[in-house]
Amino acid sequence: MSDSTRREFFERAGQAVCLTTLVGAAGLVVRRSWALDAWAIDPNRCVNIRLGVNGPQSVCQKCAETCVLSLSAVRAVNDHSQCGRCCICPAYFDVQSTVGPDGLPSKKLCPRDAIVRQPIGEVDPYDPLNNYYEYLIDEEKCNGCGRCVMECKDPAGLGSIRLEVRYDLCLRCNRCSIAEECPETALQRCGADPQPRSPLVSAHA
Amino acid sequence: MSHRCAVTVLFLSLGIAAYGCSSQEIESAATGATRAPGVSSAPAAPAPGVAESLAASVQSAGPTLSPQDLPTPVPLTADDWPQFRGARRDGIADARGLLRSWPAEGPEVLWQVAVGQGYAAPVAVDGKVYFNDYDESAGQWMVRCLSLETGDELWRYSVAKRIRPNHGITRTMPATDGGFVVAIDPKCEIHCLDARNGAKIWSLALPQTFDAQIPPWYNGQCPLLENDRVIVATGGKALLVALDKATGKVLWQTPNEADAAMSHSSIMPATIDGVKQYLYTTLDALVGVADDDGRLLWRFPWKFNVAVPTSPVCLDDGRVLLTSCYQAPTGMCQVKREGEQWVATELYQLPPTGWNSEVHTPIVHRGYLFGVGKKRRGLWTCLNLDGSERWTSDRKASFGLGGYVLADGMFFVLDGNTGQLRLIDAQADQYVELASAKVLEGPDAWAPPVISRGRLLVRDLKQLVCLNVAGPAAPAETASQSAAATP
Ligand code: SF4
Ligand code: SF4
Ligand code: SF4
Repeated sequence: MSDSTRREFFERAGQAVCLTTLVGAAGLVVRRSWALDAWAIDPNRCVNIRLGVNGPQSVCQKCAETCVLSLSAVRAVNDHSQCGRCCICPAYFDVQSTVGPDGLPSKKLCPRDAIVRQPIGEVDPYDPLNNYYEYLIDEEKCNGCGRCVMECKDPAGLGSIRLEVRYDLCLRCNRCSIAEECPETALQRCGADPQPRSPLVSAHA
Repeated sequence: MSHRCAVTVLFLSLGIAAYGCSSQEIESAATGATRAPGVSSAPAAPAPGVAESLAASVQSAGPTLSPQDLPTPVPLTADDWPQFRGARRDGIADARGLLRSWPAEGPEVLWQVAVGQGYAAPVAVDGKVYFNDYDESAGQWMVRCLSLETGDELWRYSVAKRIRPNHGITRTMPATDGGFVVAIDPKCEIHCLDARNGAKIWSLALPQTFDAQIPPWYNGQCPLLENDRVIVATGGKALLVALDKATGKVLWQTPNEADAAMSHSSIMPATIDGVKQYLYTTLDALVGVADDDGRLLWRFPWKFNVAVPTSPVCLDDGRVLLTSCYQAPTGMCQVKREGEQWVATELYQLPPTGWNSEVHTPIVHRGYLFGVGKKRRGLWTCLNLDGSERWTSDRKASFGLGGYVLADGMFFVLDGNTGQLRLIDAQADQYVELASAKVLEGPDAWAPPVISRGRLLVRDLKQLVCLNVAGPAAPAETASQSAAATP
């Protein structure tokens, strides 16, 4: 092999190595940025969460129905620091059901009986409708259908219950099947390390 | 936020006062003196035909006051706002000569006082302001009397009462004729006081007397004071009762055959086909009760949900508008007398997506309905009487659950979220805003504004504020033009 041929060979080989390295690195970057991205629900887009949409007729159940998991990775989550602890929670009770002699609606709202209601603090038996209650969501049962979320917001609720993609359950699919179906494009990539959830926009005109 | 306070108070106050344990004292602001009026252990004598058990539960202020010791009502003027929604309970003040605009910073603030968390609006008669309040640190429920001119406290009536916040604590207004002040506390005890000094004349606990259930989120009913009677809904053993203003004795009671619970609605007086009656909404019906003996005249089934904070709106021709929260339908019924029979029939019911008012009772003006609608988070709305929308404040302003009052051809409407006060032309055929200013910090500026003597009283969760809205030319000038203001 002549000197020039050898030089050419090493130049070509170097270029090939650089190219392979670059492509590999780019592939890794793309793979990291797509395949490992988490998905999050934008609360100001999701109809179940966002303010100004009310009533059971407006509930969107796509999160419950279109996740690749048999029990959706989207669940209702109650932020207890924001919860009013009402005796009559419109997310727990079906407020359109008949009120019984105990002053409580006769039916629950959740179709999967996934919300547990338990009294907290002092219980005043003489004023049973003004005691405090904690509402816990049983994540073994909840499928993220969003009915409770629709009720727990202005004007009847304080917005403490939201739908969230549970990162410990989510597979981080390359293309989230809920995002494909979401009518509000509310499911969005939020990077490999999801940020704390964003506040609701309350201004309205 | 109220729920945070709720939990704090819950833990701070564990084991303090047992339910039903109450003592009472009156503080005179002028002297700083505290005196106990002395609650009589002797029950008042029962009224003819009324069960002794009812009369026995009325507590009077020591020895029964002789007629000459009882306070004397003052003649009400167009400047007075004596009870919920004013003298006619229509939400319309007869004030004239009010400011039609103000500088960017808003009307002049004359005074402001700190109040306990709640939504209780004041009443104002004869230059005095009366309102329900609660001192969380002391566990005292109060009726406070202030000077309208200066905001100085003239007296306060206090009762030890443990009330944990449940989306606020106070949410109702007293009723007064300038002599008597009648208030219902959150736990549904009625207190009748002497307007001169806050001394208790009598009190009556509805849960103990009538087996009434304290509603969720506490009492929301404002008492009706008419001449010598106090009319309230009780639930339990009775539906409505009329009480003697001077003694608290039961004059009549309406049997509660449907076993209705007390709602958050307030009783509205009406005259339909020449018959004076009281309208009231339970959780599943609108009822009409005869003024003379409390008999049930008619009952119109209507499905409300969980709570009814609004009150029925009766038009001159016997039509009654019903609207409420929790997705209950808005609708209109026609009440009329056919011979000896009363008939109430549905005229329309709006679909679930139709307009509704969540907490406030709409105002009828120029043959239209006005109010804040729930749809799209609280648009100011003008409706035809058939429930169809004429116009809204869409893209211009929203009001959350803010309250409102009509005076001098203008609606004074609060944005319940921000405390922004907007002045809206009540004569225009579209949304026309005359002025606007942030007058409260918010949040939850839900109490309806009150106008008296050119003063506008507004409050949020923490402050009661008095604003000067009297125009320069004719301060506090008034004229009784109520007939012209209603259809
Ligand atoms: S699919 Fe979209 S709009 Fe529907 S519940 Fe899920 S996030 Fe909300
Ligand atoms: S999201 Fe649906 S399943 Fe989950 S708690 Fe709420 S109502 Fe029940
Ligand atoms: S990324 Fe996959 S697992 Fe996660 S919510 Fe979407 S569809 Fe479900």
